[in-house]
Amino acid sequence: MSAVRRSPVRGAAPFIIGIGLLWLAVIVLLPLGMVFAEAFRKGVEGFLKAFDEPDAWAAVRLTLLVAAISVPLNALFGLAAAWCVTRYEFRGKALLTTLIDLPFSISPVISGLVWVLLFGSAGWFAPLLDALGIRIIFTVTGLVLATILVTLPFVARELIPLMQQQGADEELAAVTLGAGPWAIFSKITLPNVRWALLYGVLLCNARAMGEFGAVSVVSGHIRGLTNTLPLHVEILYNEYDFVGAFATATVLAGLALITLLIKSLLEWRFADELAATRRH
Amino acid sequence: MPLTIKNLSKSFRGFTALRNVDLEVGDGEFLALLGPSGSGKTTLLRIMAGLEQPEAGSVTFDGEDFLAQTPRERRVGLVFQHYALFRHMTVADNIAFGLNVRPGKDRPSKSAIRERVAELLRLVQLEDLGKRYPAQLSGGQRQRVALARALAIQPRLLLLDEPFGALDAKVRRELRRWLRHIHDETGVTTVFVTHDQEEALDLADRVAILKDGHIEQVDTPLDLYQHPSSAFVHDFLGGAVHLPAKVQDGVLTVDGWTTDAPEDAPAGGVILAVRGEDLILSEQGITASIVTLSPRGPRTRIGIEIEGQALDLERPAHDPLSKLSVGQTVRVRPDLIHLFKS
Amino acid sequence: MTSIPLPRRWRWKEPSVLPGFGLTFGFVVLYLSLFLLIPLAALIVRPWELGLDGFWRQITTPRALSALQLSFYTAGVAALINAVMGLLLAWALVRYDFPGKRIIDALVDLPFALPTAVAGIALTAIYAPNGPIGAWFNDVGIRIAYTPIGILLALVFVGLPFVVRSVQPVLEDVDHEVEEAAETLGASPFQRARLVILPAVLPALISGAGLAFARAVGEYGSVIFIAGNMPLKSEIAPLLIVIQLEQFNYAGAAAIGLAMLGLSFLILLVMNGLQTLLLRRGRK
Repeated sequence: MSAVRRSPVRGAAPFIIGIGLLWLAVIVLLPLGMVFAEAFRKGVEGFLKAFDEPDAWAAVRLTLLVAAISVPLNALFGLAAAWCVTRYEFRGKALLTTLIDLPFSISPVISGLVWVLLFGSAGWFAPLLDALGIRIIFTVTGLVLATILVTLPFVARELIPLMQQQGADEELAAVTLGAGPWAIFSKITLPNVRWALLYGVLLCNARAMGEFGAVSVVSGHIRGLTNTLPLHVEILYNEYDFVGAFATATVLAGLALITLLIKSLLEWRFADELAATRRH
Repeated sequence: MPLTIKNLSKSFRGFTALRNVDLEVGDGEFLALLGPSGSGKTTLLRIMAGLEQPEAGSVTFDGEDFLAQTPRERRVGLVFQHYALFRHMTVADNIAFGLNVRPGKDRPSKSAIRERVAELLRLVQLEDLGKRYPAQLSGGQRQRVALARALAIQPRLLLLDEPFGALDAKVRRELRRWLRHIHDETGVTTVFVTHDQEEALDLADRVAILKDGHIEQVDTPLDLYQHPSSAFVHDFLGGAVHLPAKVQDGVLTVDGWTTDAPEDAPAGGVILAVRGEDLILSEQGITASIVTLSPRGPRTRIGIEIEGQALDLERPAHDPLSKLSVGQTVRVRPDLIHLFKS
Repeated sequence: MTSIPLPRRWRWKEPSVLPGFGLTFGFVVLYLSLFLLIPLAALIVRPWELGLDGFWRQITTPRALSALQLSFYTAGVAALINAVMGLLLAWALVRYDFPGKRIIDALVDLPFALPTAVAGIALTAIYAPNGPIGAWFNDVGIRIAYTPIGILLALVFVGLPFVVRSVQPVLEDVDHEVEEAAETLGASPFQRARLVILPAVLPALISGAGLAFARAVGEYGSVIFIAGNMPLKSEIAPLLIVIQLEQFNYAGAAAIGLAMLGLSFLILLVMNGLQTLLLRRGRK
């Protein structure tokens, strides 16, 4: 590819670039800048005050905990699903692939709602849970369930196209050379998909930590107990503690920027090893 | 015979890939599976390797039931068409893989593995490239690494799937000779798949010709050429025209020309198969028209048409056929006659 | 040699020497059942506790109708805006070189990475009547925040990357020889864009817009801060679900959820069909 792509509408270049960049600046960059501007509206001191609260730290810990449970589970699921879908021929494969992608087209609120329908006080399993003395809704378990559902496809959809494209020949070659199941997975498959796996985990994690709608439905907003960072932002905002809300939001914005940075680095460095369909 | 295949059948999703295949491969033999694409040759190879299971039939090796064994137990070296080198491993690690994954008690020591790898690198003439990655090698080099990797496990049977398919013509010819040399040196029983008849005839001790999932004929290259068992085999080993003919009372009639029929010729309607190189310009014979004539130094390439079928021949410049001109209609007769039942 | 045709045996799975099918397939089915299928079953079954009548009543109250209408309408308009601007942005990123292009390219994904609640409060701060941009518009009598315009803005934000990322790879692949051929045949620049490039990217454009639409219909976090949430005016369907849940009207919440899901699948189905049609025409 030449450095400068030819365009049929050559004279229009500055015009198109200008409008495109202006649009991106207004729609995307302005809100990002606003987060930081509002967070420091009352100076560094006002900014830091938001982190004096124990509730803020409880929210950070809870967010990390929820991600630490749901992301590895979805990574494991992604590996199993990709292996199963790309290495075997069986009926119903198309249906399975469709199901895996399904959570992307479900509203986050619905992803929370379904758990309430099952485990809420008037849910299907409410009598059973009452009898056992277990609570799921308004607890960390509920947050984890909602987060798993929302982020379920992230790793699988990175691995499936890549493993499809790589084909099974290397694993079959390993079989003829006498490799057992574990050797095939750990020496051939895993090294071949490691960067795509990391990429998927990265995106999965960003969504898990930033999820709002689904966890908002199952959380009950109990301060210090079931408030993740995004929910903490909402509470502060609704209490008109704008500086506090935006200061907390900078943590999440920082997370987003770091995610984008690592994502771009992975894309530049390992373009070949990430799936051709990596772009959303 | 060490490798014996009996009555083998295999289908994929209703498509029959192999039908009642019988084949024997001798100890140290170099056998080619030759056929057009879709003839089932790769499937047959993959069944030998243990990558596919047939629906019916048996595969035995030195009296052992191959089908009951895992690929690991079979100890078969397979070279994939696109090599399937492990992309994240160096050349040396690729070659050592089969030894490294052996269970603890059977695994050679680290130094023994290193030695074996060095030995194989020498064998395939890549001594200095052990530290490279597959992506840094040329096609021909990758092919040789794949061969070394397959040989590392000291296979009882070496299988190659279109070993030269992905290479350009010049490298192909070099590697072909070299592969034969390696085979003669190691003496390992070898089966390879190809769709290129020249490659098969040039390289193999015997050639099995497959069509639509069954074996048409297995013979030495010379016997295949001289005694093809069917019109398909005759045609596949070099372009030919097939003409409807008739045999009656020991006389063959084709296109108004008559000649003595071979003694074993079937009576009635037959197909006369004629190769370009067997044709001689003659007073009596089959009508042919000259379509193209292209002199190429000492040889001339002549395109002729017989009963609407095109045929290419090559003759020395002094041959009477080379001295004709385009558009001329002449008579030719075959000096070697193959007749098949129509 | 006798040749008997093999029986055409029905097989669920082709045999393979690669290990692990049972393990991975079992795990995948179990995982999908626990975390996706059983929960979705609840969504599909529970609304009918009210009977067909009750279900119909739940989704046809003026409040529910207006919320559904608002969600689908704004999502549709946002997808259209994103289709146009996303195509333009993708064009700029693929066809031209300019300083900082890589950073700009990376920033396109920000709406994917930025938690929606953060985007929501930031957009509200900007477009509220006392915000930096909201104040200008307020002076000329246009209110953005706390009206459907604000909702639209938030939905444009969350949907921006979808079209760009769908169109970009296709635009990169447009065969330059075809374009040059069109040029030698005397096509004007505008004709070339319209006749050669647009048909090539149209399926990707539709698919990207479809994704942006699906995302926008269900969007919650970035919208609720800026929406104002006035029943019948600026209350979106997902919010109505939350409100029903807070009133322990599970069946009602599920009814609205199911209606949302059904409607968006219907629309996506139509868009998919359109895309397939275009792709098929492209192959001929």
